[in-house]
Amino acid sequence: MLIQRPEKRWETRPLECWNKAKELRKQFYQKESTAKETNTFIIGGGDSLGMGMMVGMPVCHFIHPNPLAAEMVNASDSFPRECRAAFEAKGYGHDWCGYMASYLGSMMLNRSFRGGEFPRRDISVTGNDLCNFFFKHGQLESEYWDIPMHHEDSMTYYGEPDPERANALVECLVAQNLDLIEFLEKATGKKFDDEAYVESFKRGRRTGVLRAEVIETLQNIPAPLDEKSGYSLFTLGGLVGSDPEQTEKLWEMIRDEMRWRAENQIAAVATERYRFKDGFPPPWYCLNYYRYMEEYGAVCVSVNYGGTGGLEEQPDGSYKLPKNPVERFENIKTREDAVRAQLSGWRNFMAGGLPNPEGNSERLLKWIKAFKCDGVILQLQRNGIGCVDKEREETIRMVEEGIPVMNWETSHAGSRTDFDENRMFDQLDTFMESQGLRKLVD
Amino acid sequence: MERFQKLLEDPHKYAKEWKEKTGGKVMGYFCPYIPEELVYAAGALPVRVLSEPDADGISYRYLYATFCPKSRGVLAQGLNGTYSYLDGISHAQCCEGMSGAYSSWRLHIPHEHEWFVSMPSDLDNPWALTALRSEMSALKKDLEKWTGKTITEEALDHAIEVYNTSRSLMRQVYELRRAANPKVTGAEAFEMVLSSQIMDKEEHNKLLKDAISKLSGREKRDDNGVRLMMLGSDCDFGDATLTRLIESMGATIVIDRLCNGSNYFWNNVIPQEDRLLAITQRYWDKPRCAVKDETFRRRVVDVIGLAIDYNVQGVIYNVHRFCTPNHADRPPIIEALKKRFIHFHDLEHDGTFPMGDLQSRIETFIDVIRK
Amino acid sequence: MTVEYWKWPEEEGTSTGVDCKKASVITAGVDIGAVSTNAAIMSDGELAAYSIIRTEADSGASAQKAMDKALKAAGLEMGQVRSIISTGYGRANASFASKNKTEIPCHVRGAFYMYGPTIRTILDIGGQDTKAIKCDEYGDVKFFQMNDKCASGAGRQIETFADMVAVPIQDIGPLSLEVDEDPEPVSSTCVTYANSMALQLMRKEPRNRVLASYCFSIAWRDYILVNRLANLSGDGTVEKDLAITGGVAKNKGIVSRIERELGIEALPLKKGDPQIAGAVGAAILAAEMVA
Repeated sequence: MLIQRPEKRWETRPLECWNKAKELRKQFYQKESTAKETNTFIIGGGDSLGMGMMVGMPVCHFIHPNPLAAEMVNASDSFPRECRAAFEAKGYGHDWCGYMASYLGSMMLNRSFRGGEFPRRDISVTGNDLCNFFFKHGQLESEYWDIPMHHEDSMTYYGEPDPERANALVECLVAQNLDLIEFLEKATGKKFDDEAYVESFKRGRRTGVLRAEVIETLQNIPAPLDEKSGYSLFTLGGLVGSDPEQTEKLWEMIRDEMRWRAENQIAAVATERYRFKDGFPPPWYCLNYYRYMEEYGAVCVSVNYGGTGGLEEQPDGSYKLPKNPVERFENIKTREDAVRAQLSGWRNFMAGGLPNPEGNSERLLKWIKAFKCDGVILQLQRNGIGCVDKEREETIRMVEEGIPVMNWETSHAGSRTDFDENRMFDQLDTFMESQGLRKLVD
Repeated sequence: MERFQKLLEDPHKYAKEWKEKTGGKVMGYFCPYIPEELVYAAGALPVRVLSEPDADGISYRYLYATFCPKSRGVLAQGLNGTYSYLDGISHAQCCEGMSGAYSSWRLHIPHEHEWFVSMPSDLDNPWALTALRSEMSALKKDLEKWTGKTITEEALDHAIEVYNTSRSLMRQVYELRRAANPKVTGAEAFEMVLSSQIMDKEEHNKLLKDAISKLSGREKRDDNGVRLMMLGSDCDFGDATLTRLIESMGATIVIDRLCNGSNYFWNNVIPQEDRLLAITQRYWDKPRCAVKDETFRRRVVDVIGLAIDYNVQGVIYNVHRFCTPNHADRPPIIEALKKRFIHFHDLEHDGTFPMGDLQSRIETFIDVIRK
Repeated sequence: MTVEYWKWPEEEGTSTGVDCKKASVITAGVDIGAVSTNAAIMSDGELAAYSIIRTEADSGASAQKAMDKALKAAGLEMGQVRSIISTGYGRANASFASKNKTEIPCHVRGAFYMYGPTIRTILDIGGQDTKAIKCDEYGDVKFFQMNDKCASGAGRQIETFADMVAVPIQDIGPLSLEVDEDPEPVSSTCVTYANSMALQLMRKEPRNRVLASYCFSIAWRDYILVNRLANLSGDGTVEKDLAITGGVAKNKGIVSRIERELGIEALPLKKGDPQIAGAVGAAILAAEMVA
């Protein structure tokens, strides 16, 4: 059938929470641009403790390279290209992660994509398990600015859970993060506010529950939220750390809105007839690929910044919030309690942060079932090995399980070089046609 | 010296024969941060999984194109059955390329035993040292369970002695290369190190002692050419081809800082009451490779120190395509070399060595040094 | 008749005012590259004649053919040539050569002669590789960088592209300049990606813009290479004067974009053809051997 018309149209509405989310994001960037006037320390990087660090040490403002680079490539083609050229001309390989090459190149050119000079970093913190590039970038940054650097390890293993072994590794991470706090005190000359941090940690748990509740609603047909919008929202409270109280309120708002939308069958995509999950990270320079898929009535039901964090798998395969998701944190009293609780809960000691094709494929299959996905699209990124360490194995597993899966090759999410938009859309057309779908015509 | 080269012609022969002769277990490993002494003390034979270019592309099914040729080659060897004689496989947390290869290997090539050492990357951090010490305890228990043998202190002492002897002998060989007219070529030295990684070191030590005793009587070569150092990614694909090629053009590689070269044996275990801590400390203190030099940079100082000690005239910085950590370290090392007016050339390869291209580059590089 | 857009014209040339018959020493150089084989005849240190042909499957035969053409242009026989140096990837296959030499120093010497002794940075964009070379005032190599493992930035790429877009190869450069503004470049990493992207672009962009994007991507890659040379060998400043050699140096579209990005105007060619720098340099070195 060459012409297809929508069989059903769901009601759809713009997100009410959108403007509030934009406001919070703007607040975050303002902190960076007014750092000098407000005597704020700009910290390049991030760590496991997340927003809590900024609350306990409000004089510090963490800026993670990844969302910055994502915005760069979303905003412009030529500027990130120049940044990467400057970076490569220093002798770094062409195969560097696009995020880091764009970010570090911008630093080397001393130009910010928002105009003006690149805001100086005062401290460098690299942490957790993102990838080799992320670890290494901290060194480059600290040497470039001649600034103090703190490094958090990634301690994990393969195999059956071993509590004794895991405990020893967690102890190391707890110690490193407690050390980070002391390090920041020395670097800034300020005292860490333990009370505020503990409160922020608990608030963070509550916010985490709210986020999980939003993810829960995505199992609904139609999906109340699409991935593209999800990306803008889910960085808030994570990679983009705005005011925690306002962030919690925003997430309450988002949660309530999503629940209402799910109950009242308000869809993210009015013509939803196909649901898919995609890989991470998406092509930040071409996010209209999600809108392109919507022309087929396909909605991406995936929250790559949220995962199924905080949700429990049920016997029927769905995901639900556990009972008493925050009560167990009520006894957190001290800095150490909070750090320990953050790390023990956050770390998945079955090869968290390592390539884990078995575990990743299992999780993907469960997600597909729970969130009622019809297919999977997994991008293969030409740079940034950390972003493509499992996609091949996941693809093989999907094929074995009979799940429709498509791969498309692209440059790294943080780099538009080698990105062939036309080719990508051709491939998407072919994939959708293989699913018996044509673009919808009214 | 030819016997070391011969050992590498069939790098699996020794392990297979050892297994048949002793009935023991062979454990393959990817990364030299594996505490081999522990494995040896358990009565198993640790052998390094060497890489060969994946000509058939068998690894592409599991690892995307942006994995380095070494990781790809290692996985291919596993998939095509070359290492079917291994009873166990082991890896230590290092770069993503090799971790990716390991994760696919353990999924598709089952062994009766596998172990992953959570090797920290912040090697300036005392808590990470404690964590690694606890990893040693966990590994010891696991090895005992696998082999059915208790790892006694005596066994550990013996293993430490054997390995320390191997390292000291290799240091002797490398010391000979400091001379103005070194009696051992880079290719020969490299073959000695590489062959030690595929056999029982106690036997290998005998070969080393014999070779060293014969070196003193060796005639000096007329022209050693320019003195070079090799840095970067591992340059083996099972043998010393690249080293030999470079040395055929009017150079001698007098020193290296490669994962499967000098890094492998440079420092000893310093015995102490807590044997596991002694072993931990040895791996902790080992010259850092690119992926483990992530905090206060020590590698640059180390490399420059070596270059001065060995009177190096030029450095070849050889990196696999997609080797993240070595690409990251290249500019600061080059800056340091520039300040000392030490020539350098950066090579990049994907596991193949196009002769024409290589010859042009290396010859020109050597010419520049000579002038 | 099938049109072969990739086929750049083979040529021979002679220099006016150079009389080989009066020469004391005649030397020659032959540069056997992956894409072209070039020969140059030097008469008492001056370029007398040259030839440029496409390298065939038998590189030894190509070397002979190029040499024969150059000799014919010069009005000479092989026996009159005192010394011949061969260079390039196929240098070992020139059986008539007295000696062979790696091409990088040959390129520098040749460029020195053809562009002038003030050059300090040479960008050689050849058929299969690209080299950025820093030289001293004596025409000796100080430092060099090459493209890594890809045909990106090299002549073979343009050949495949010419056939793909059905534009004669020698017209690509001039046509690419007939745009108001350069679009974003196609891939600089790989020929296959670049060609694929260009093909897709042709569906919606006018032809000249596609040519502009393509030339820009090659120029961009070379711009990065020259900057890398400058960074790794010095303080990041590209040392003037700059010369651009190789067959691709004849592509105005690429050359002008390289100049624009670097902010440096390359020296104009004074003698010969940009493609023969390697052969000229080999012939000059052959003369030094005789002396």
